Amino acid sequence: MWPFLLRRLLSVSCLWLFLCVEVGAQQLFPARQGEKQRYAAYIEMPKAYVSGVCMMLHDSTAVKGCVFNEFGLSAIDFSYLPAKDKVVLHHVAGAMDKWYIRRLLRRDLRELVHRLQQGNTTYYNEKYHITYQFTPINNEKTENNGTEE
Amino acid sequence: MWKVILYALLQCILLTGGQVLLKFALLRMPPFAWSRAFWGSLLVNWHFAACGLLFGAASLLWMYMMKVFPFSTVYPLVSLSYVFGMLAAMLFFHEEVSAVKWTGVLLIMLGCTLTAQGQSAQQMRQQIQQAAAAMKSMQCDFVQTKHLKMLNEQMVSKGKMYYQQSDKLRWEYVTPYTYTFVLNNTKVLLKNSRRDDVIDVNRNRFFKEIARVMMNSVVGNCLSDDKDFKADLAVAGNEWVATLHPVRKEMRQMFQQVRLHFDKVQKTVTRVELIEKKGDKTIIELKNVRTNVAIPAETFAVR
Repeated sequence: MWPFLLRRLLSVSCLWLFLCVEVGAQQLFPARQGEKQRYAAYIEMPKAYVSGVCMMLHDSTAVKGCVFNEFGLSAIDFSYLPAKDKVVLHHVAGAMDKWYIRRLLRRDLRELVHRLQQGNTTYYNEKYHITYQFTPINNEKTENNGTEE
Repeated sequence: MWKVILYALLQCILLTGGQVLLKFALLRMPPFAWSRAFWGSLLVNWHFAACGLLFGAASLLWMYMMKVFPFSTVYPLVSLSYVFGMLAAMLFFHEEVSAVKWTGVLLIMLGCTLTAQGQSAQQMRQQIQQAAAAMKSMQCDFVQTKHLKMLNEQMVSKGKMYYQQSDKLRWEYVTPYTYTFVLNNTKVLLKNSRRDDVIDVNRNRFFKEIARVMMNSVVGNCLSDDKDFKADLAVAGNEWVATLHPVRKEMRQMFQQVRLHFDKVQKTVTRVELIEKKGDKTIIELKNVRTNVAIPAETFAVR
């Protein structure tokens, strides 16, 4: 009797845990076509940091993302191609537009997307000690602001 | 600018038309006599009536132009009627107009265009600078809309802005994220939900530039700032629009152009458009603007 109940309890717990992770991931990352997500973006380097907003939209071909600072100035435009598990950079702001920064960004953004898909908002690049933290912005609040005008 | 020229052209056509009809009316008038027949012929002379209508319409349009546009812009444009006068002389009265006369007319037209353009831009610039100098403080709400071309989406954020002459600015986002930028003399405070940072702009050239451009844009001082921008001014309905073209390389990397919209009456900025090379656009609308109000010193505290 007890082993049977324990097994049941374990399987229900696993299912519950799986559902929680899945729901969390859905909220964090625009996994399905047409979904979008807005994040408060924060990238901290050893001697500096960058903060701003990131918007991601899952369209027919890729998950497209734009990162811009609070004043609206664009920093990075990228696409994540799920089929190839690859990040393509479309635009990198002037000061950061160097081949070695682009390479780093491509790799780090791909890792960050993986983390977001798993329901984790942070990615830490151990080699260069860079922390990427993308926290979702309350969509309801943003939508209200968007339609108020 | 083109609106005033269009009105001026129409006004000159009406005026010249009136003059032509007056000439016709006078040509057809019988020799003067104190008789009922003479005065009766004047009453039935349609050229006189039409000439009066055209003069009336020209006067009404002239009054409207004088009310809406600067006097120094409108007044020289009236001389365009000389051009129409010459054309009418050739067309209706078959008079000969020599090359010297046409040269004179062309010079009048050139002079009119230069006067209208030069003076109006100069005058607008002057008035904006005067208003900026008179503005001791300002506070308002703002709505910032970032248009993302790649996503075909937009992001709206709102906040409050405080300015105090001559080097204090607080730019505060309250929704959907919180972020505060405070400039007080040479110090800048950057505050987000995670941390506060104080930067000395004299030690950071980039921040010095950003702070200067922000401050100058808010009050409209960047029109006289030849170091950063080349500015064009134009009239658009009830507002003046200054289009700023960045001069420096660092600025050009950030913006293709910046458009400042000024309220014609208050001479203050009502809307800022930051247009990027890649097609993205950020529009900041200033609302509930209050000038020369007391702002607590704490608002600009940097620590």
